[in-house]
Amino acid sequence: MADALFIHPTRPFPGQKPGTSGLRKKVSEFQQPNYLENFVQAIFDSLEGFEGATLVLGGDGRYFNREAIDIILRMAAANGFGRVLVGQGGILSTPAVSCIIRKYRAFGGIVLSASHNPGGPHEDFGIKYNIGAGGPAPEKVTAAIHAKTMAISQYRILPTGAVDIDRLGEQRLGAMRVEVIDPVADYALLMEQLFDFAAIRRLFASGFRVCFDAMHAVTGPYAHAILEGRLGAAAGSVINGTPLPDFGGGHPDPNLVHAHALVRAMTGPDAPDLGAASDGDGDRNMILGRDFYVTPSDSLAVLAANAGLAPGYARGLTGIARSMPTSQAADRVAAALGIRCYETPTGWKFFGNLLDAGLATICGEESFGTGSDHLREKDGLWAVLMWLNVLAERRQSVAAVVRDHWARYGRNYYSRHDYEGLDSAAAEGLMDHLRASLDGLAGQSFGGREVSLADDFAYADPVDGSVSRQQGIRVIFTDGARIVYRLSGTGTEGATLRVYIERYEPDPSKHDQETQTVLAGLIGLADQLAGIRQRTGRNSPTVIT
Amino acid sequence: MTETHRFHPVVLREYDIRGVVGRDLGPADGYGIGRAFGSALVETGGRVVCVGQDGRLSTAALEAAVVAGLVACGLEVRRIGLGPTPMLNYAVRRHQAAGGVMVTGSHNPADHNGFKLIDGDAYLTGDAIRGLAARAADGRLVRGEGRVVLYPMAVDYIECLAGAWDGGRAPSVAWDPGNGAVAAVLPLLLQRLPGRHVVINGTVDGTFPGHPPDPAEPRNLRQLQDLVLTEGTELGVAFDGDGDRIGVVDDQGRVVCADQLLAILAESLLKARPGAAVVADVKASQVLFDEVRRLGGRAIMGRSGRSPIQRKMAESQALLGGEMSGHIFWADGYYGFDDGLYAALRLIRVVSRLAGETLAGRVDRLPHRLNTPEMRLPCADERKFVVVDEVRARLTADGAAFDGTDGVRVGTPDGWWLLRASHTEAALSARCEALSPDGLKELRHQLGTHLRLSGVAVPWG
Repeated sequence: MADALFIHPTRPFPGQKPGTSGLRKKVSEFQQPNYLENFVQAIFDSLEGFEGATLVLGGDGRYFNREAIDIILRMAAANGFGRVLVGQGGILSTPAVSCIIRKYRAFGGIVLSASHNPGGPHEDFGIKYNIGAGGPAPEKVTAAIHAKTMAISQYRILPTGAVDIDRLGEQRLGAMRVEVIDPVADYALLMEQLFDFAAIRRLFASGFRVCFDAMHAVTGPYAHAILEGRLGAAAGSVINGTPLPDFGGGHPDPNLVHAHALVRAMTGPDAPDLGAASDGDGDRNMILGRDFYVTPSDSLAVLAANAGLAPGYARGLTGIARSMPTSQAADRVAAALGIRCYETPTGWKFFGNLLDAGLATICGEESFGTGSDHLREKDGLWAVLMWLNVLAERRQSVAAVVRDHWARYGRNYYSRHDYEGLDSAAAEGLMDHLRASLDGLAGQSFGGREVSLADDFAYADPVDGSVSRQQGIRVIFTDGARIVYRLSGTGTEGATLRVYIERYEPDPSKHDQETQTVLAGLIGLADQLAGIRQRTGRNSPTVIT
Repeated sequence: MTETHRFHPVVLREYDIRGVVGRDLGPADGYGIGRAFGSALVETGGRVVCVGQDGRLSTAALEAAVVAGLVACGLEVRRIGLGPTPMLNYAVRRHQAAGGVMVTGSHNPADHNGFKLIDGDAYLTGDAIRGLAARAADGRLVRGEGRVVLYPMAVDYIECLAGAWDGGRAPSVAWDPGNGAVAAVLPLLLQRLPGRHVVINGTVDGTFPGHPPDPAEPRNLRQLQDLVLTEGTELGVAFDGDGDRIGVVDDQGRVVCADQLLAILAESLLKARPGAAVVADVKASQVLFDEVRRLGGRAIMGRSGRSPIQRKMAESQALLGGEMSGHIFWADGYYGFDDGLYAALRLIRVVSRLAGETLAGRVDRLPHRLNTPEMRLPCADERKFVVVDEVRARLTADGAAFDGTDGVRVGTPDGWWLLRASHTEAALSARCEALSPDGLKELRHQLGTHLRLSGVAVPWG
C-alpha cells in the first residue's frame, strides 16, 4: 500500500481565530470545501517535531463529528504522524483526551466539540488542539495557528483509505497506524486510581440513588460504564445517556435552565440522593442534592475541604486555584488547610502552569468547571465521582454536607447576573467609566459597607511570570462582600456584561435565606457604581444564575 | 426523414474535432458526430462502441449528445465514465468494440472541448474526419434502436496498469495530473503501488486552477519541479488534460525532454528485447537515435504527430515509440497506444532499478547536445507546405544531405536542423541541435537564411 498524499491548493478563510476553547463555528461553515482542512493544516503547520509521533483524536459525537474525524485522520497521515489514537465511533470526552494524551505521552490531541453549544446541521461545531501536557493550547500556540490560517496556501491529505472507526484495534492509513480505542477504558482506570470505588459500590448497595443527566452528549458512555457498570448504580441512573448528533434537540449545558429533566427528577421527597449533569464534551458539571442546588463555587470549596476522603488526594492538597469571579468560598478552605488559594483570570488554561508546577491540586470556575491535577482539563464526571466518594465516606445528604460546610467556614452567598446582547460601544463605555472611577473608591462607604480594594484584575503567573491585565473589575468590601464586572464576547452579536455579586455570612442561623434577597443591597450597589440601567437601558439582567 | 448537420469548419482538425464550446462547438455537434460516426461503424458491421469523458465543465452535455447520436444508429453504447483518453483506448480493446469516442478538450484551455474518435484501434485523422463531416452534411445516416450501458472501466484499467509494476524497490514520486482526467483514476492507482507518492492538482477540476493542462509547455511544469525539490522525490511526472501525454522532472527538478525520456526507456526495453525497433519523430534529438543503435536496437524516424508515429510503429513492429510533445507508446507488454500513466509506471520501474544512480545521473550520462526547443513560426496554411517545398528544392539543388520523412531534417558536420509544416496549426515547426554553441549558431543561421529566402519572418538574428 502506497503512502500517497495529495497536496491541495487552498486559500485562507477569514475568521479562523481560535479562542480559549478552539475554533467554534456553525456546521455549515465547517462544511465548506477546505474549511476544516485549512484549520487542521494550520494546526500541524504551527507544530514542530511530530514526525512519527502520536496524536489523540475524538469528539463529543455532535453532527459532522464523523466526517471531521475522517478528514483529520487522512491529514494526520499525510502530514507524517506515526500513530493516531481515536475513540471508537469518534467519541472521546475532553477530559478523556487529556487523560489519554498524558497516559500515552502523545504529541498532542484534537478535540471536536463546541462544548455546551447546541449540535445539528444548523448548529455549532468546534475543534481545538491540546498540547502534550494534556491541556488546551496556550495562547502562543493558538496565535501561531491563527497566523498560519491567514497565510495558508495548501494542505496535505490522503485521498482514500477510510478507517473503520467503529472497529476496535489497529488499522493502517498509509504509513500511519490508527488505533481505535475504547473511549472509556483509560479514563475509567484513572478514576479508579483516584477514588475509592469499593466505598462507592457499598454506598449504591445501601440504596443510595443517583441521577446523571448526560444530555445526549459525550459523557453518556462514560457514565453508563462507570456509574452503572463499575460502581453498581441502578440501571436507569444515567438519563439521556446515548450521544446524539443533535443532543436530542437539547442544549447540552449543565445548568438549572437546560438540565430541566434532571432538575425535575431531583425535586420532591422521592428524588434520588445525588443529581448531576455534564455538558457536550464532558468537561463541566452541575451538582444537585434532593431539592438542593450546589453552586459551582460551593462545590469547589466542599470538594477541596473533603478531598482527603478520596484515596487519590489523601496525601493532601498543595494548593487550590479558582478563577477570579468564582466565589471566595474556596479561599476560606485554603486558609483553614494552611495552603494557598490562587486567583487566576477566567479560562482553564491559566490553571495549567499551577498544576504542572505542583502549586495547586484542585481548581475550579464558577462556570460549572471543576478539576484537579489528574489531567489538564476540567472534568465533569470526576467532580461527580469526587462527590460520590465524599458522600460514601460521610453518609450524609448533599444538603447536609453543604450546610455543615457553611457552618464551619461561613457561607458565601453568590449570584451571577448576565446582561446579554448589549450594544458593544455602550458596554465598553460602561467598563471604561468604571475603570476611570476605581482610584477614588477604596475607603468610600456605600450603605454601611466600606470598599477595601477596587481594581482591574491583573494576574502575574507565578510560574512563568507572564502578566495578564484587564481581566475584570473587582470591588471588594471590608466585610468580605464583592462585586465583579466582566465583559465578554464583543463580537457581532453584541457584548455580554457579567456581574458577579457575593456576600459573606459567617452566622449559621442566617444560612438558609434566599440568595437574591440576601444580595439585594449589593445588586443595587452594583448598578449604582456602574450605571448599568442608565448606560445599557436594561432594567434587569437577561440571565440570573 | 433525413437528418443533416453541418460543422463549423474550424472544428475539423487533423487529429480530432475540437473548438471553443458555445462559439463553434456544442451538443448539436456531439449528436452529429454520434450519428455520422455511428453510421460508419454500423455499415462496417460494428455493434458496440465505447464512450469516455474528461472532467471539463462542458463535457457532460457533449457526452450525452454523442451517446444519443450513437444510440440512434442502433449501436450498443458503453459509457465507461470519467477518465483519461488511454482508458477509452483500453476499453475499446477490452470490449472488442468497433470504435470509441472520447469527449475531451485534451490539453487546451478550459473553454475548449472536442472529440477524439477511435475506429478499430486507430484514431481517425484529417481526411476521415472530414469524411464524417461530409456524411453528416449529406444525411447519409443509418437509423436503428441502440441501447446505453453504464460500464465504468476505471477499476479494470487501473488493475491493468498496476500489472506493469513488478515489485521493485519502493519509489518516491511526485505527481501532477493538472486537475485533468488522470486525477479521476490516480488515487486508485496509487493504492496499488508501494512507496511514497505526493500529488498536486489532484482533483478533477474543469477550470484547471493549478495551471493549463499541457506538460509540453515548460512553465506548466514549474509547480512539479518545486514539488520534487521540496519533497525530495526521485522523480516527478505530469500529464496533459486527457492523460495521453507525459511530462517528466528529474530528482534535481530539471525537465526531462521526451527524447531523453525515450532514450532512457529504450535502454531498459532493449535489455529485455534485444534488437527491438524504437520509433521517434523527426523532431527528436540525434542522441536518441544514436543511443538506440548503440544499444543494438533499430532506430526509426517517423513523421511528427501521434497517428503517424502509431502507424510507423505498426509498420515496423516497433515495441516503443514516442513523440516530442510527450506521447509515449508501448507495444511491449501493453497495447501500443499512447498512455501517460503507463509510461510513468515504466519510467518509475526503470528509476527504481537504477543501481547507485538517480534519474538526474542517468540523464547526465546521455551524450550531451545543445538544442533549441521546438520553434513554432506563424505561417499561413496555404503557404506552409509551399515554404517547405521551396526549401527542399534549394537543398536538392545544393546537393545537401537531408531526410525527407516529414519536412526536411538537414544533417551537417555540426548537427542538424529541421523545418516542417505543422499538421495542426498555421505554423512552421523548426528545431536545431549541435555539438557546440558555435555549431548551434551556424545551424540557426542556415535555417534562418532558408526561411528568409521564402519570405518567412525569423525571430532570431
